[in-house]
Amino acid sequence: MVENDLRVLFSLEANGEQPQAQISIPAAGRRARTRQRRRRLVAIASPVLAAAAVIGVVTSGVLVGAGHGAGPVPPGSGGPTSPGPSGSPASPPLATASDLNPLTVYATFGWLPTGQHIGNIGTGRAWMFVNAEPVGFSLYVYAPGECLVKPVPKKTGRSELSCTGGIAGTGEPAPIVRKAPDIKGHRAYWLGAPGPYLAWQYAPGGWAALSYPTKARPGDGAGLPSSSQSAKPEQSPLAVKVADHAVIGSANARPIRFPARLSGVPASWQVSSTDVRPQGDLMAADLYQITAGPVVLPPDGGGLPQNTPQISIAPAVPRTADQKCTFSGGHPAHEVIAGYRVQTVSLRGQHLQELCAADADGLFVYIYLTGDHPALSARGIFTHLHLLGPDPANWTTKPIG
Amino acid sequence: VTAVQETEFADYVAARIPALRRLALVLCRDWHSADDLVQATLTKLCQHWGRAAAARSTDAYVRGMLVREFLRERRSLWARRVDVTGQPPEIQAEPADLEGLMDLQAAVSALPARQRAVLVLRFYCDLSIDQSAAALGCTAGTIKSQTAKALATLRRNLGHEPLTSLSEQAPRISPFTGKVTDHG
Repeated sequence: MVENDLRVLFSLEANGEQPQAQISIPAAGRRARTRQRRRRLVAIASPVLAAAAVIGVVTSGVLVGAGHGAGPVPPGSGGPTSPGPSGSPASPPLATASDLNPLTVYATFGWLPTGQHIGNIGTGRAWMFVNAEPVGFSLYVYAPGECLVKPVPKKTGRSELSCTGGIAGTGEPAPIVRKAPDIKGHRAYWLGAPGPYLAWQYAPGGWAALSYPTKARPGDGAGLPSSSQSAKPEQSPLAVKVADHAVIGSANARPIRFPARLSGVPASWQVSSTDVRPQGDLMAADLYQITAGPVVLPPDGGGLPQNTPQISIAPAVPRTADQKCTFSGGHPAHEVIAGYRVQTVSLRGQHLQELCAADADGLFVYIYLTGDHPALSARGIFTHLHLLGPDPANWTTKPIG
Repeated sequence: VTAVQETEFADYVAARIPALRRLALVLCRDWHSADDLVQATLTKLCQHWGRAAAARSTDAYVRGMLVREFLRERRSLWARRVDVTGQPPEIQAEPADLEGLMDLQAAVSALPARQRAVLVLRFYCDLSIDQSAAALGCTAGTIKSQTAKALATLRRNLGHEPLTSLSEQAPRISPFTGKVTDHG
């Protein structure tokens, strides 16, 4: 029987001698982080949003971009918020497309199940996220106008919620599978693959999505979360509770503190996304990305766009794996810049520059940039960095200027 | 991905790479592509480690992720334009069986990617129809029909006679038309 022959064939193939693996676990981690940041940068690369690169302000608990003002709901953004079933609060004013401020944390979990706490936070202009640790919930908040409900595509037969960078940074839209209980009086939906997610309109044109832990349905045996487009996502009462307590908007907005100030660079340089590690109430940046000219996305979909130097700075913890100076390739050159010992790598074929200082005034510094003709080299950026030491109390909320 | 999650991810992956490579090999049919597939899957896995770790079976979650990544790559414009399939994996077998297995190997390599993926899930991973459907994110009916089509193609190319007795999960081939019909 062919079936039996197939079992034999696959088994023989799989159990043959394995050659040396060409797989790197650190590279997977690095690319995952880069991909997530890249998706937060996609909005900047868009000509429309690049023209509107005005940092947003938060008013009345609703994210509204400065300079954009009120106006009609963007086409397809879902229309005005429908009132909740039981006398929900009045809808806030309508907002047009606007940007978030990547120097500010706008959202947080108001409640998490026992054993979970806020882990890391990422901000950008189009969206931001808050992850819970050790594993479980992730909250994604999109600026008004960054998501829209698409009509039913032929492929899935279901309407989709499509957001800049994809739902939860996956790069993909997610089908709306069914209505969920209203969240704070705003309409909400359960979303399928690449979910499951619980999504709700926290403000007109502004969507939030919650990724939540799932258990496989009894009997499926494969242990997969119900993430297929055909499957109905598990409707988690816990997810509804977490979403209901999420705090989004100005009420809880907290400025991010940066461990260095970059000065002497063109006024057009701006922080475009930040990775934050909360230390109690203090929002401490540990990695941030800067737009330093026209952003050009790499054609292969990998790596960072050009003109977006990435700076990673954290209090130095010598001899830890996380803070080891590792590079994408080549042999690092050891040198002293501005009195600090640094290692640098320049891969011309890949138009890539890296600089690492394991301990500069008590800070671990890593700079990564790509591009044919960057406005400043990695060395140049390092010399323009004024390091503020390892104590977050001395850090700044103005990382550039 | 938090630092804690990344450590958990690295520990998990370090132990699973050989198994993931084997699965990737039977899907891709050569080691270079298999390693590329595993690397791409690990990147995605790291991005979504929280969800993978929270799944009842992380192994099953990752397996589904790898197979879907394989199909996604094969659907890409690059894959459709450029055939980068290398040498099929070597198999060690008795000389009497070797020729038949090599014919089967060639026939499996010629199958469309989705059919090959279904066969791998069913006959390498030993998943049921429902489990295969969950892994690929499709219906059980699709798994049945894809399995049936794939087996029929293999039988035709290998010159096998159609089966006369069918198990519950096996495809049904009409004795009158020779066409494959879904069972159940």
